[in-house]
Amino acid sequence: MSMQTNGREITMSEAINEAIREEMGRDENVVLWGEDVGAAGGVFKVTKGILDRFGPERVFDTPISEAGIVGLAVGAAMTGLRPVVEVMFGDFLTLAMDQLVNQAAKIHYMSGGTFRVPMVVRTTLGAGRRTAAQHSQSLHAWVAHIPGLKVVLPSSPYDAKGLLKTAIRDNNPVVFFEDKISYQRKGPVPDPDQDYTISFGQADVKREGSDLTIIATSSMVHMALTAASKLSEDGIQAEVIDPRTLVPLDSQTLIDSVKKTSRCIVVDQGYQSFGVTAEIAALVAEQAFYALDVPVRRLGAVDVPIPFSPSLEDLTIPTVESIVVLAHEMVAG
Amino acid sequence: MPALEMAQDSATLVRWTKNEGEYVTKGEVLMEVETDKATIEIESTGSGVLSRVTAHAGDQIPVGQVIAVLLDADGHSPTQAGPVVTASQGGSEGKSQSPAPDLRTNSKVVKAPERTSGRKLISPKARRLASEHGLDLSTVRQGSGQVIRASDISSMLTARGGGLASVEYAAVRLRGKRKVIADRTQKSHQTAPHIALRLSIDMSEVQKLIEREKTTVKGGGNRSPNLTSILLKAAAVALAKHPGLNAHLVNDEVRQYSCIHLGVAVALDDGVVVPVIRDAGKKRTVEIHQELEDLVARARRDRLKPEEMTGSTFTVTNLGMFGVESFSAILNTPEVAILSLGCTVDKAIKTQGQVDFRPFLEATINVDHRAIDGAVAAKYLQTFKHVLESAQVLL
Repeated sequence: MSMQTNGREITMSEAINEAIREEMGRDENVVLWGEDVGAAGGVFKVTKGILDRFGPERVFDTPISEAGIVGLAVGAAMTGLRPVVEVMFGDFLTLAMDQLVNQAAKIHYMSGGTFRVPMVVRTTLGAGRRTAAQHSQSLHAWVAHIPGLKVVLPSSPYDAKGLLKTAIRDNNPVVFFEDKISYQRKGPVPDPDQDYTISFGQADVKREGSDLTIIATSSMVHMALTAASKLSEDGIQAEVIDPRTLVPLDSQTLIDSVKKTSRCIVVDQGYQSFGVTAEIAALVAEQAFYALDVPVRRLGAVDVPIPFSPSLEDLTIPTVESIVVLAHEMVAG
Repeated sequence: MPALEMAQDSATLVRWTKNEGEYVTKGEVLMEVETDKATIEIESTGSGVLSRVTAHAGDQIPVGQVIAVLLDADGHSPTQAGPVVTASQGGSEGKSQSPAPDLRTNSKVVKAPERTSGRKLISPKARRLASEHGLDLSTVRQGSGQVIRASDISSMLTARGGGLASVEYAAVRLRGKRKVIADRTQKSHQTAPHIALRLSIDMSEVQKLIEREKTTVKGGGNRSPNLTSILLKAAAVALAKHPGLNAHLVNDEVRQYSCIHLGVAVALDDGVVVPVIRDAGKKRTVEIHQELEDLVARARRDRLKPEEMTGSTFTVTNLGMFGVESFSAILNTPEVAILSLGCTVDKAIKTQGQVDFRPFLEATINVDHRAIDGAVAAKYLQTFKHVLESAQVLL
């Protein structure tokens, strides 16, 4: 259910900036740190002006140490703050994995509920920016695999703002993945005085259709929507669904859609093997088996280190064209 | 008969899904069997012509008994691996009338008569649609592709007529109370030759009695008899005079009972239950009224004990509250008679050369003709009518 937006359109970067500002204004325990998030306003300018607004006590730059950034957040969250920290590239979550997997995700359980860890790790995913193998990966499946971590993948400015506000108010550790290529994408967002949030675990049907369900995450939602428009010209009505959060996952909306359409493609920018597409495809096969008229198909990143060469890089991630071709194949039977 | 559960010694054959002499492909559903816990489709473990069928629908069969064999076109078992449809591990032939298939003589693989390629590929949705519409998968041809899809089934159903493929319906499996009702009514209808007799009863006196009691009995409510309790009382009084109808027929033996335990059919949202008023013949009408009120209230909350729903010797069923004028019920076997009552309707009759309006109720008695002849049933109805019209001994 969307709020009234009065025709105001802002970028995803601005929407995230607004969410952080509003939550910092709402709760003085919300604090912010990361590499270049302060004076520079973030390498993608997402945190622009927040240091000036809230001062160095609540907003500061850190050294290049992802383990330190996240570890500090775990300790601060355990002792009462609500840190929102940035790991500039999701590729370097690898350095913070112990803090995330063995500390943040476990402390609430292992302390018998004595401690909680209300922290948000904002980070990025997505290829297509010619930044080669170490700055182009989408590693959200790594954390979605770990019980105790919530995982959010917004696809629009509206969703990004509403979901980030929910993440900051959540009493559990949340990893919030932003697609770098979506930062400058504009979309309708309500005025800042309209406080809205989007609950976790509620998939959004971005386009309704009857012939085929395309389940897509993050910026792949836009690929899927463009593909659906093209398919519509050929008489194929595709339904596009954005789960919005992987953990918790709204499986019911996905299953209901596939039961309606009998066909399902899952599109995600993570590596195809052992990834998000595999998990969702398995879920559909388990719960909507008798509705399926063709096998569930997956489109993920090709299982290779992402090449720097633009012509090669473009072959590694799903495209509008690859979705359209696959959809035609499935509908033809 | 295969064992489907850890501690299972027999199962009931629900039905064969293939006929004797029909070719069966490995993996096709061959039969449905029912255990204490579930009804299960059994797939064929081999391919061949279904032969030497010794088990029939409804048979209770020990696990391991051979109930059919799969043979190739020459009448031999086709392969070592899968000739016997359902065999015990010990290979016992049980009660089979036919000689056991010779497992050694023929090991060549039998080809399906009409097919050259292997098993057809079919999508899960298409398989489900075909099953829901009772379509034999072996008759379905795939469209352009290699796989049978939902669209192939839909076009086949459309061609078959009715366009049923596009009609949505909700499938509800018979289970629990519904399953019990289904089984019992079917058995009764199929085994007991029913005859029905019907007559009209003038209810003027009964109506006067009810009014009179209502005004004289203090407290009202269930302290005075209502119509249902008076009808039950009358049924019991008439039974006492015609005990032949107060009986069970079990294995060619009529068991005539001295006590009158009246079963009373009670409609629920999900079926019918028949709580029992014991010794109704000895009870006063108002006692019957109060007891029935309690039984009905608990029946609606699903709180009847099993012993309160068993042991009836005669059953009364009433649909008068729905405005039904008369109907014919299915016997609650092994009982030999059931009384069906309609609503009371004013009807014009001729009395002393004049037209008069009187309240009439239609009563129908169904009896099992194996035990009860029409005249016996007619006499019972006559007495029932007389008891009500004279409104005597009804308190």
